[in-house]
Amino acid sequence: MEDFSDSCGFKEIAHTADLSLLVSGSTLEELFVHAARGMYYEMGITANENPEKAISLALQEQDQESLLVSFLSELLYLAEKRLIARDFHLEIDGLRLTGSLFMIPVLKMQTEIKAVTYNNLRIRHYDRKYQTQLVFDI
Amino acid sequence: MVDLRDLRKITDFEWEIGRGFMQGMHVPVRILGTQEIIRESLKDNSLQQAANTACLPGLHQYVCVMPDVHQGYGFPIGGVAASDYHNGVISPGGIGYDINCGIRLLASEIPLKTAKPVMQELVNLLFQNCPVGVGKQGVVGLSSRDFSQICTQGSRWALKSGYASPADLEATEDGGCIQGADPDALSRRAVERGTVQLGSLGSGNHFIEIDVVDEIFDQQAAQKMGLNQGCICMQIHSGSRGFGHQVCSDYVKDFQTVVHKYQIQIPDRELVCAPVGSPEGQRYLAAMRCAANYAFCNRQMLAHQARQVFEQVFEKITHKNHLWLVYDLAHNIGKIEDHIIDGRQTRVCVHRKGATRAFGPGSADIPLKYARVGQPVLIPGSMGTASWVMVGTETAMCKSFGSCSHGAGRLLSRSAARKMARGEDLLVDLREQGITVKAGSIAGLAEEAPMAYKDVDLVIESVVGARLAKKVARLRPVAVIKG
Repeated sequence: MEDFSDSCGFKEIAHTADLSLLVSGSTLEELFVHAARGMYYEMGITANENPEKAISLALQEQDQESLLVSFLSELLYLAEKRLIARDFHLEIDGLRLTGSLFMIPVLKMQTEIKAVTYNNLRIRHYDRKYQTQLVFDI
Repeated sequence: MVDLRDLRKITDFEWEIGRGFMQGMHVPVRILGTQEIIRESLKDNSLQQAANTACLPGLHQYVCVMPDVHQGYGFPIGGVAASDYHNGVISPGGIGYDINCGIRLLASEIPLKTAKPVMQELVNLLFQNCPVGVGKQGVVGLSSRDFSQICTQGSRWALKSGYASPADLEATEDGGCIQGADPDALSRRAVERGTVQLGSLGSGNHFIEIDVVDEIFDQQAAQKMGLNQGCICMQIHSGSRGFGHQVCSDYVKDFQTVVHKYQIQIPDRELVCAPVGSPEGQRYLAAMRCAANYAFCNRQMLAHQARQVFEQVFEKITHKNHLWLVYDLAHNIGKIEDHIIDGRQTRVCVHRKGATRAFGPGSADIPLKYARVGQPVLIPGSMGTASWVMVGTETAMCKSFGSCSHGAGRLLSRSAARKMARGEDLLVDLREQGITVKAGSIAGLAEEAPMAYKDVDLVIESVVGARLAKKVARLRPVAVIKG
């Protein structure tokens, strides 16, 4: 497994038409946050520094991959409403995610991500690391 | 990964990957293209994705791969699969997130030399009046009643509301309205996202382009379409916006459990599906049709705005300032169609993922004025390169379930394109070629650089070689508006 521990936890993988990210984290929560930050990075978002509001999140799905897709889809929905999360406080208990997001207003967004796909999506856990490869439709 | 040795050559323009390539394939994969196109397609996962698609149950004949194929998610882009209406499945991911992303071509009788002095003004006004860019909201506020009517009526709502003419609807695939849409199949979030974005272009590869009719290859068909050599026309490329993205996301997620219910084995979770006739399949079909109708109406609203601007700019110069619709078609869609398969009329659900309908002469469901020449097929090139107007053929009806390529097809990833081209340099190059560009994001422009795409002329050579469509006219870009 590739080690991202010293980096931002995500890196872009070549994809002809869409966007693919390899994401890593030492915990499932960290994997989710790194995936979110990677997605924001690829969207080329410039945001205002001031926190605007806290949003609480509660998601439950049938597997970890669906939980990740739902979490990122929620962030895409909020980004369309011109809000991105600056800080994440997440807790994943089995297949349930709860937490709060501190949202700040988006000033500029360069790339639209249409959706988070399930394309060959699998969260792997070994050597005390979590890793996954995501494909986004853009 | 698929290797050249896995392909069997049938003709110079047809290749096949047999069912034995991987376990689970129910039908072979048929690729339409020259050897050069085949070599390009082996550079990414597109043909593996086509083989994965061939694992869906109830498919007829083969998974068809268009010459502009490239890697997508689940299905390849440029993939066509026809599943049996009674024993097959429908896959939301095989239709895509931008449901009824499509293109429309509008034509005029204004010569390019007449238009040139006002081109910059035209481009500026189009940019101002047609909302372009990431997450842009639409041009009209919609009540929930309006939204519901758009879902069920598509462009007919635009006609009723004064944003379309009967001729616009006549020249739109399915008359701009697919029957069987049901807003009750939509999530609250899908409705919310759709209500605010009608009449907006979006970003990425969506565009408005002014072209000149550069060369005509079929005078009779060009005449039917009103295409005049040397005159300008307009292409609009957009889809169902956040509404369609939400519909697809909702159902790809729901179908993750539905595949287990129906014990369907698939090699990739993005290929989740439900039997077409099942309650889940029918519900998705009803929701997908809402998004498809919304997209027809969205392009109609964009065309209405663009037409107003166009006619206003040119009324100072000529009284022949009308912009008429040649055709509007979908290239991400699932359609219930009847095709002759093994000599028998068979009802199928045709998934066209990055593929255009290309019905031949005499087919049902094409406008009366095109009945003898075939349905117009619109194949836009990459930014700054030619686009093609073609007509569908009887061969396409036999070989590809009446389908054809939808564009040039990407070669390079967006990040590779950004590394190879700077938006500012591209802007200069395009200007030197006499192309006016107005873009919401200059950096984003680099992602759509011509070098990131296949040579559209090579794609057309394959389309013609495989006899999926016949050339009518080549269009050369003169102005581009992008998000």
